Amino acid sequence: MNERVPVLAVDNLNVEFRTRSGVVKALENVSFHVNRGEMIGIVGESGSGKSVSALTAMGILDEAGRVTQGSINLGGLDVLNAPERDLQEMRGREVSMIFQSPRTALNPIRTVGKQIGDVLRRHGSANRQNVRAEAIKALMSVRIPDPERRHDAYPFELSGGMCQRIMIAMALSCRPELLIADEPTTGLDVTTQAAIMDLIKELAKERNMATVLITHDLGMAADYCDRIVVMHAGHVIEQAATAELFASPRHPYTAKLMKATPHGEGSLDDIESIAGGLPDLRAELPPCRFSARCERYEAACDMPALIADEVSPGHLVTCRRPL
Amino acid sequence: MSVLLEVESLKKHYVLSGQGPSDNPLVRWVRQRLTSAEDHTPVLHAVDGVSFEINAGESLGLVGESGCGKSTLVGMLARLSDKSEGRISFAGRDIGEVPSKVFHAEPERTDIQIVFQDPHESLNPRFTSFDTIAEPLKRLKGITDKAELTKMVEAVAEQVDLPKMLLSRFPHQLSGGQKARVNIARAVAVEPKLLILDEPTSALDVSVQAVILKLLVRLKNDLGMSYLFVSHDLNVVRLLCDRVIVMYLGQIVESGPAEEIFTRPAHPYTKALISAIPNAASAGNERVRLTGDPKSPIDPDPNACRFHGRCPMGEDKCSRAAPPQISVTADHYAVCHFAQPS
Repeated sequence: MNERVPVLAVDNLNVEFRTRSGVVKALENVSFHVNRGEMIGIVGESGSGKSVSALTAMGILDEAGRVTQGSINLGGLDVLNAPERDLQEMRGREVSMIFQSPRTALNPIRTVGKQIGDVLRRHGSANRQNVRAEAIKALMSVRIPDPERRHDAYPFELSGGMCQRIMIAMALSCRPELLIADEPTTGLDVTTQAAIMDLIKELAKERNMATVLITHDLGMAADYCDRIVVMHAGHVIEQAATAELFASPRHPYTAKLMKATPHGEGSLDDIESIAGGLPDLRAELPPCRFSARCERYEAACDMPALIADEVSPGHLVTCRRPL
Repeated sequence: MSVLLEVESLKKHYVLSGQGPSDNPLVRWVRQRLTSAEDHTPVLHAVDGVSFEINAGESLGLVGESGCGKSTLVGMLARLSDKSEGRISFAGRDIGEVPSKVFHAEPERTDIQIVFQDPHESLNPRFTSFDTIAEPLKRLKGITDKAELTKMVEAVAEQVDLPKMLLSRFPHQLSGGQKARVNIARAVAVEPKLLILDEPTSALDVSVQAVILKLLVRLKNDLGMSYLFVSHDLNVVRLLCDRVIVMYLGQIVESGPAEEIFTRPAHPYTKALISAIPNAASAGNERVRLTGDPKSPIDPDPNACRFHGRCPMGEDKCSRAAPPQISVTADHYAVCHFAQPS
């Protein structure tokens, strides 16, 4: 099913933010790719650079941010050097994004149907005559009951799960090649979360679409993704196929993250916290940004030029002393 | 084990006066004379007949989706809002009769404390950690002596592993985990008997979550408190709680020992909740999935199961009769037509 065509390829990306208190090295040597029909998960603590990676890939990085190195190829388009006009064409049609807290991402004073219609008219084939019918079709595709009536509802009239369905309808209305879902179920109930994730997975499969799921929930990534990219303090520290990553995590951070996540079995003694916090990204940083929190640290870890090692096909680890 | 908190058919109803006829008798009379409109004011049944108890030293988990009445229930138990009907008895005394407005003067105020959701939002931004922790000591314990207060605050800070140097900091100078500690310290400073924890870890990263959970377990053993642990993270509830109650639309649908609820859930809603937990181990398994949204809590049909319509095993009888409470084992019951004693 997975043709080996990367829809999105991020290569050696460095991103900095200039702030009053110094330059924040938000991303360093970040590389990952997503193939057609594949779902990858980007996992990490808050502040690890998950969202910045996604925003940069969309070309919607904040103005304070600056790409200092690397390349991003999205469906053949060089995102970092393309003119804004091409990027605008690309967004919506080739890549779409759904954000967390759908209720705030939607315009509160326009009906949801009209908001979907906007996307369809800008990027899709709809015109003034058929836009309503097309929007209703989009609502139907995300299994919203009674789409005719919901078309004219305002976001506040709908539940959180329903609003996220609207966001998905909007994102997928132009049949993009790639969907980036940034914490799509934060703030939703577990039952709604499961329904939303099932829907994303199902639609992705139906359309052979590539999906990037950004989440801090390792369990969710394990449940839905084919491959997982683990980030820590702006570095990609490990990436592998889901089953392999869970069977044999090689980076100490990945292993610790798994131990820290309650997973339904065992007792509280079986879960362990990770000592320390993320390092201050404004400071001079060692090559391995996890070294200060790592139990396997030794002097060799401070040698420069830490690169990702392919320990087995498709399993990359950025560590000098992998497990 | 002695019962610490006993709740009996507790109800909280909100009268939606905006929609129905006014409460003014004259308006009502005129309306009745002029129109044939039924004299009915819609009532929102936020909590509808909830009974349970918490034993001394026990931790009880409360789970359910948003809108099921968890927070309303917590508000009533913490005596921040008043009940409509029912009884809340704490250590033998009916505290439900005391209006929430004057409850702060009662001795039970120190005995029931609450750790609010989201440590980032629930701390006063103008209070240092010291001020936050000292506030309940000043107000509830009446401690005014500066030296004594300092000693007590420092002792509590040590209990929750909060370094002394952080006591002079403001919330914006603290990390999420540190803020959670301040919040817990504030609640345990007055040595409560019952601590209500409203989603204490949902705003924290997994890397800190484990430390906070372990801290909570240690505090409970050290101070001999009982916990009411409200959460939608079932994995966390399973780790921390002895017993669990599951709420759906204002009512308890299942109650029992935690391990039993998780391994042998009897109510279809509990089954759906558990199978919705994302989990590496369960990937690819067949799951119970719910469709649609919960029914409206406004004027629910008393002669129907509130879960009917979303329930995967719903039948005709579910819409005609309220489900009975069926004991599965001695201390495990489910409110469902299909529950079977084991």
